[in-house]
Formats: sequence, C-alpha cells, structure tokens
Amino acid sequence: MKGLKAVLASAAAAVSLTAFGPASAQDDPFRVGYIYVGPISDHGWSYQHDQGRLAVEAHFGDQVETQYVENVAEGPDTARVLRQLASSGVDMIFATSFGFGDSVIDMAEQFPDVYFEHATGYQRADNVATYSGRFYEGRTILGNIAGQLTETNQIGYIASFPIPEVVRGINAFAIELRRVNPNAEVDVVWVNTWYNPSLEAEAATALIDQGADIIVQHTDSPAALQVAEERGVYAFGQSSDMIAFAPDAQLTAIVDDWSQYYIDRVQAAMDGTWASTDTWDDIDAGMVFMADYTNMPDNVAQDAEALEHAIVAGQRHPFQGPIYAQDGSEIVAEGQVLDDQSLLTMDYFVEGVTGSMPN
Amino acid sequence: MSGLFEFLISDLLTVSFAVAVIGAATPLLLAATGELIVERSGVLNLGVEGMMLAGALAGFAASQELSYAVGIPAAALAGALLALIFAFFSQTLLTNQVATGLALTIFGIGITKLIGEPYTGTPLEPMAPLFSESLQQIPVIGPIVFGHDPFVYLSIVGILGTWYFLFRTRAGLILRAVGEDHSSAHALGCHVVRIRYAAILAGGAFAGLGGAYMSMVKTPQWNEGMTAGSGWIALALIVFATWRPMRLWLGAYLFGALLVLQLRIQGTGVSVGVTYFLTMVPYLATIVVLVIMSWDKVALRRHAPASIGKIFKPAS
Amino acid sequence: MIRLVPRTRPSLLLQAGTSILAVLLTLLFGMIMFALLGNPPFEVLSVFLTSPLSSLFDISDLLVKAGPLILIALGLAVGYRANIWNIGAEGQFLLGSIFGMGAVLALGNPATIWAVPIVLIAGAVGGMLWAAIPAALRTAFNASELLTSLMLVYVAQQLLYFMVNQVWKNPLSFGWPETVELNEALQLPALIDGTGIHAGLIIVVTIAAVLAILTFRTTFGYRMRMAELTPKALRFAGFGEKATIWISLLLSGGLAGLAGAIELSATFEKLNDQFSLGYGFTAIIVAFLGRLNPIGIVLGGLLVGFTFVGGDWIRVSHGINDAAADVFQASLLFFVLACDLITRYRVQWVGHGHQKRVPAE
Repeated sequence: MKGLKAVLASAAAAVSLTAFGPASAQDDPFRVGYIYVGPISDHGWSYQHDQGRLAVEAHFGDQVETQYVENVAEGPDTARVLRQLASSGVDMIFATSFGFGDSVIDMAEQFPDVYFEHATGYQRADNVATYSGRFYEGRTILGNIAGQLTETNQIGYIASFPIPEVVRGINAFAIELRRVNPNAEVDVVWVNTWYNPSLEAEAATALIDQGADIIVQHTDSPAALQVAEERGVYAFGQSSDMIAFAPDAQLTAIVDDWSQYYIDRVQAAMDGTWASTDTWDDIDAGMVFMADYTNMPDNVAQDAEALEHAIVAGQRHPFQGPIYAQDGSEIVAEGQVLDDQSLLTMDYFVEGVTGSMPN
Repeated sequence: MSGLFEFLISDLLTVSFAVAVIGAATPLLLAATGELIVERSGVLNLGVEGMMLAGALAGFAASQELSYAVGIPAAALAGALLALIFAFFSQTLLTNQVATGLALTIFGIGITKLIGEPYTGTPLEPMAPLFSESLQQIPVIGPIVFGHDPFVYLSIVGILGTWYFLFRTRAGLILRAVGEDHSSAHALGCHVVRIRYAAILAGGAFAGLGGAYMSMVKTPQWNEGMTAGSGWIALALIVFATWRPMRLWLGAYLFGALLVLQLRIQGTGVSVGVTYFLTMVPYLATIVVLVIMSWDKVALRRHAPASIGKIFKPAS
Repeated sequence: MIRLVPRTRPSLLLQAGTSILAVLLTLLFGMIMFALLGNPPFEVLSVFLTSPLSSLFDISDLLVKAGPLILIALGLAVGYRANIWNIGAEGQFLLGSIFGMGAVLALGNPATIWAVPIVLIAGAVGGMLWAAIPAALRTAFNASELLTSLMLVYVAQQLLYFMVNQVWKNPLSFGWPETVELNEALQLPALIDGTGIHAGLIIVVTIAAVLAILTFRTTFGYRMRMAELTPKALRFAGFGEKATIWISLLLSGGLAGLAGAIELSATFEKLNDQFSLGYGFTAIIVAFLGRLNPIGIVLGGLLVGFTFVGGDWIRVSHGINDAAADVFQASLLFFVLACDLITRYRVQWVGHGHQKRVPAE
C-alpha cells in the first residue's frame, strides 16, 4: 500500500487535470474525444464510429490519445459532456449524432482552440466541420441484389424514423430494385425506434409471414438478420458487417467506415492544416464500404460488383432518371440526376414502395 | 374496407400468425406468471424489468460459455438472486415496496450493463426446437403444437402449474391466505415472511426466464436494456387478468397479438403518420382492458390480494 | 433475535443522521464497484466527489439537472403520502413540453418575454390533462393509476414522435425531427452569465418553499402528513378519497408538465424526439430520497444531480460506463430505504433471557 497520502495526491492530480486542463508540453499526445449517441455495443452506428476511433489509435500510436463517451443524450446533456471533454484538455472532438449539433456550435464558441467535427450535421463554424457518408449508394447495390434474388417479389423494409436519411435509403433501394425487377415491391414497417432488438425481430417476422423473402433494415441491431437466418430468408447488414449473426442469410452489408476520414482529420489538426469543411463521402472515398457478397449465385455477385464499380467510376448515380413517384408521375427525367439539396430534404416515396409519406 | 377484411382473413387466420403471437407473448407470460405468484402472496415487486435483464444476461452468458442446459437454470437463478435483494429489503427491513421495486429495476438495468459489456456483439447459436422435424411438419398442428423452443413449453407448464399450485394445493391456499390478510394468516400460525420470501424468489426466477427467452431464443444476443419495457407490460397484464392465471395466459397472448397485429397492418402499406398511433395501440388497449376489468369494484376486490403492497410486521 | 418496535415520532436529527449514513454506505459500495471494474477506487471516487463542485459550470450543470427532478418529485411526493402511485410523470413531463411548444407556435413564436408565463402555464395544463386520465379512470372505474399512468408514458412518447416528425417539423432542419427554435425572448434567461443556471430554477425553489410551508405550517399539511402515518387511509384527512386522488394526480401532473415546459424554454429551446431523458422516473427516486418531504426532496434532487454530473466526469476521466450512475442512484435509494428502518423503528436485540437495548438515538 502506497499510503493514503500518495493516493490522495494522485487523485488530486487527476482532478486538477480534469478541471484545468493539462499544461500542454510539446511531447504531450494529441488528445481526441468521441461522443456517441448509443452504446458502442449497438453493433451499428456507434459501434462503427468507435471502430474509426480504434483505427486512429492504431495509426498514430503514442502520438494520439483517444477517449469516448457513449450513450450521450441529445439535448442539454450533450453540452455538459462536450464541455467536460473540452475542459479536460481534449484537442479535438468528434460528435457523432445529428442532435448534438446545437451543443457543438455553442461549445465551439466557448472553446475556440478545440477542433469540433459533427457527423450528419449542417451547422459549421471556424472550428466546426461536418461530415457524413453517402450510404444510399450502398442501398442501390442492395436493390440490385434483392431484385435478382427475390422470388415472391416482396421485400420487407424495417425503417426507424421518417427522416430524409432513411427515406433516401428506401428510395435508392426501390429505384434499383424496380429497374432490375419491375414486379418487385417494398413493404415498409416503421418501428419508431433506432434500437429495440425485440421489436425489430417482431417486425422481421411479420414481414416474412406476409410473404417477404428478403429483409432490409435501417435500424441498428442485428435482430432482423437473426430472424432471417432462422426463417431461411435473406437479409442485409446495417452499418456494420453482421455476418457473424447470420452466416447463411446476410447477402452483404453497408458498412460505415469512418477510419480514413478520422485519420485524415486528426492528421490535419496535428499539422495545423485543419479547416472547417463539409464532407459527404461515398464508396469511392471509402467511407461507405460493402461487406463481402455472400450467399448468392456468382452472377448476382458479379452484377453487384459491376454496379459498385460503375458507381465509383461515376457512370451510375443512384438517383438518375427516369424516377417515378408513387402515382406514376415522373419526378426526374431521363438523363437527369437529383442534386444534393433534393437528396438532403427528401420526404416522398418513389414508385415501388407501399405505404405513404404525408405532405 | 374490403381490403382490411381480406387482410384479416388471409393474414390473421394463419398458422404463422399464431406462431408469431406465441413468440411475442412468451417472455411476457413467463415474467407475469412470476409476478402473479408474488402479488398473490400480498407483495408488489416493481423490479420485474431488472430481474428480466439479469436473467437475460445470465442465460446468454451461461449458454455461450457452457450450454443451453446451463443457461436456463442460470437465468432463473440470476432472476431469483435479484429478487432476494428485494425480499431482504421489503420483508426483513420492511421498506416501501414501490420504492424498493423501482430501485431494483434501475439497479438491474445498470448492473447488467456494467457486467454484460464483454458479451455484447457476440452471437449465440439459436436454440433448436424441442421436437423432431417430422412432428413439426404435421399441417397446422405441427408448427403450433410441436414447433417451439423449450421456453414456450416452460411458460405453459409454468402458468398451468401456478394455477394448480394456487387453487389445488394446501401450500397455494396458505400463500393466498397470506396475500389476503397477513395478520390473520400470522395468527393462524403461517410464517408470513418466510412464505413471501419464497414467493418473491419464485417470481424472480420466472422473470429471469422471461428475460432469457429474449437473449437466448428471440434474438440470441446480449444487449444492454434489451428487454425494452417488457417487465412493465408484464405488471399490467396481471391487473388485466384480475390476478387469475388462466386469464393471464389469455391476456399475454392477446397482448402479443396486438403487438404483432400493428406490425402486420403496417406491412399492408399505411401512411407514416399512422404508425405512431399503431405503436400506441397495445398500451392503449392495456388501459382499456384494465378499465373494463377494474370496473366491477366488487369483483376486483374479490380477486385482488387484499394486503398487496402493505408492510407486514408481526406484532411480537 | 432482532425485534422492531415502532417509534411514535421519527426525530428530524435521526433522519438526517441516517441519510448521511446511507450516503456513506453508497460511497463504500461505489468504491467496491469501481475496484471490481478494475479502476483505482480512491482516485475515481475523488473525481466523482469533487468534480461536480469544482467549477461554476459544474455547479450550474448540477443545478440544471436537479431542477426538473425536484419539481417533479415535489408533486409526486404529495400523492405518495396518500398511496396514490403516479409513476407516469415522464409522460406528463412530455405532454408539458408538447403543450408548451403548442403555446409557442399558437402565439406565433413571439419576441416578447410576456409570453413566457403563457408557455409555462400551458405546460402545466398539459401535464395536468395527461394526469387527469389516470385520475378519472381511477375515480370512475377503479383502474390502478400506477399502471395507467405508466402505460400513458409510452403513448406520450409516440405522441411526441408524431408531433416532431409530422406536425411541427422545422422545414430548415433537413428533415430531422425537431421544431423551430424558441424565440430568444421566450427562452428563460441565465441568472449568471455564461452558465446554464436559468430563471426556471427560481420557480423550482419558490414552489418547493410554498410546499414546505404548506406541509409544515398549515392544517392541510398536517392532515397530509397524517395520511402518511396511517397507511390504510387512501386519503388526506378532511378530504374524500376521490378528492385526494384528483388533488394528488393534478398536482403531480401539473408540476411535471411545468418541468417539461421549463426544460423546453430553458435548456432544449426547441422540441425534438430526444426530449425524454427519464426525469419522470428518476424523480421517483428523488421523492423517496427526500422522504416525501419538500425540504428533503430539494436535498435529494441536488444529490441525484450530483451523481449525474459526477458520473459524467468519471466517464470522461476514467472511461467508466454510464451505467455506474444508474447503479449509484439505485444503491443510494436502497441504502436510504434500509437506513429508514432505524428512523421508523427502535431495533432491539432480544437475547437469551436478558434484553439489551441498542442505543439508536
């Protein structure tokens, strides 16, 4: 036993460190903090951001020190955790949920020397950058695979909330699905939660019982894949490669790969070349990554790969015309593509999706 | 309208619907069976959610490390262990049962999250059905009667056994007597505290099994807070059933049916705005049935254990 | 053998003493827990204990967190004394925020500070209306308010989702489920510049003071306290059973709704789908920590606020899981309930043949 005095001294040191920030010597590691909206165990959104954090650690070694805070509620709690991180001497913070935005802007003002990065956000400042991935590109590939493999022509889609990110995914999927297989339809079930394994499993069961033979999800847990595995139908992983949960059912997965972006940005901040940017990266940039094409005939896998290459090469845009609305009217003419602004505010369904969006 | 009718015929009167309902209802039935025993002994334990999570984690961990055969008793044991905390506080230290139960729920959520961290994100082989393939392939009867995992049969044996115990055995009679009027039961020589301890532990074991059904069968994975409020629904089911086992069985399946139904109605294509209200349906229905069941005050009094939630202290 | 002899009047000194004992036991339990999790227990504990008071910002965080908890718990405690179990304050809190936002939008999000009272009153009304449902169902149909109020939490949650996703979605929010921001004039101002300590906290303190006077200095309060001592009585002396149910639920619902509107105006400044932070549930703990008395509740709320801020700091400083705060709060409640035994009963050791009194006071 070192004695109470020593313990208390080290404790006091820890406190003063957290309260007043480190006296930043030259060889101090560059400190990067991450805040996640969910638990890193969600095996989805927050999990993948944490994989990105680990990649930063692996890449920079001793030069960089990272830490994370999970399960941070969006709202006033966000500001508190951000301030605690910033005042404890963190040099750069990645805030990885849309709802963190207002707090990020507030805290960025109070801590002008800290670099802030806000995922899926749109508000920027001198020390606030935003970034996100074009995950809908992956949805197009899922649509291609599903269109070829479905026998019942019914695809079950488990959706979380009707935000543009989700609606865009459904539409990207449906457009390509119908291009490959004009008879196929997408049945959407809204579970009104991002994460509730039991409910996600119920939804998958309901869709399969109603005739769906492929399940797509835009919720975080691997529950739907497990149901698909048990029922002998196909499904796609979400956010991370979920093949371990469904070795015979997962066709592929859209993986959010934040590693390269995080490494680049941390490097830029350390070099002093960091600037407030708005990044919306795609498959080409590596932010959206397709897991192995499994459990499908070779020709389908080859088609999927070819489509992936075409998207990377810019020969195919997920939202290129003609695109038709649910009532059959033309939304995008042949040869046209939707611009980013339309994609970011998308609030309607395209032809091939059952169910309706208001407005 | 004809579309809805068609949907009801073609979709609801199917074997797969029945199977889905059983799947949705089983964890609720297990947990509610346990709480029924507890409440019949005159104790209100609001810690069901916490005990379910303890069972879910223990069942998952033991199944992954050892086997399913160990997982099932481990889940029951973990639930009972948490229940023991409740029993010690509420029966020995005579604490307020509502507060203690809530503390147990929060404690269960927190402690399983802390201990369960290493198990998150790891899969578990799904549990095989109990009966052979050939039995399951009998039309209609096969999947409904023989197509399930051990938990489903356990839940049915549990509720039938509870009925038999409560109304056909001497021990059950004593338990109910304690729940009705602990002072009189005490005067007649019943060990009120001891009986309640036993009931609370049994309740915890059932809740643990209910949680384990979720982590071992329904979605074979462990995740923090994965029971997502089922414990509270189990509590509501008991009032819904006016503390009667057979009605509880029916009630659990009815609630399961509502849950499955709202998802299936969505599958036929509805406006997004409607889905929020569909999600409310099971909860609103619970309130409605609660009202209907409680309406007849005399009947409710007849069935509700009279000394529920009250502190018993022998006047020695 | 232990024998428990009820005390006729629990002394205030004893209550304070046992509360301190409960806190110490919780800290001891926490240290064991940190050690088992592989963290240096003294170091973690010292961060946990000192950080919430180490700067004005942290004190501000603590107060902001404690405010709604105290307000909701004050209301709940009144009913709990008479065995009216409203455990659905979370739903009433959400309805308060929805009604508050409704008032903001109905008034056209005006740039006048005079609209603030209307927003707050609308919030209280929203909470009351939501609590009136279990009250009506209990008085008319005898349905358990404990369960109906709880079920209504889930309903309120969906209603919130519906409002922010479908009805009030800000056209400039890129489709994310949130309303427009409240006009700056409608945001409760900070009392100390640069901190989050907001004017809503004055409301909390005022209501706590009023309820304290009501409880300890009036006949009604005396009757209310008597109701607690006679656990069978489902009513406050002098009031009928139905009146007691209505008073309890409307008061607790109204205060929870008011808390929702204050949070809307002072901290969130807009309505979004993340508005539910579990204050309504945590407030139940606060009510019991405060032994259902207004002054105790203020202290209990501060204590729980302390565990939130301290819990966040040990997440940041030592990477300790946020569940630690849950376990802390639960064990605190366990120990307070257990230590309560000493205040309510005289513990006697009954030996073989001779009796020895344990000094309990």
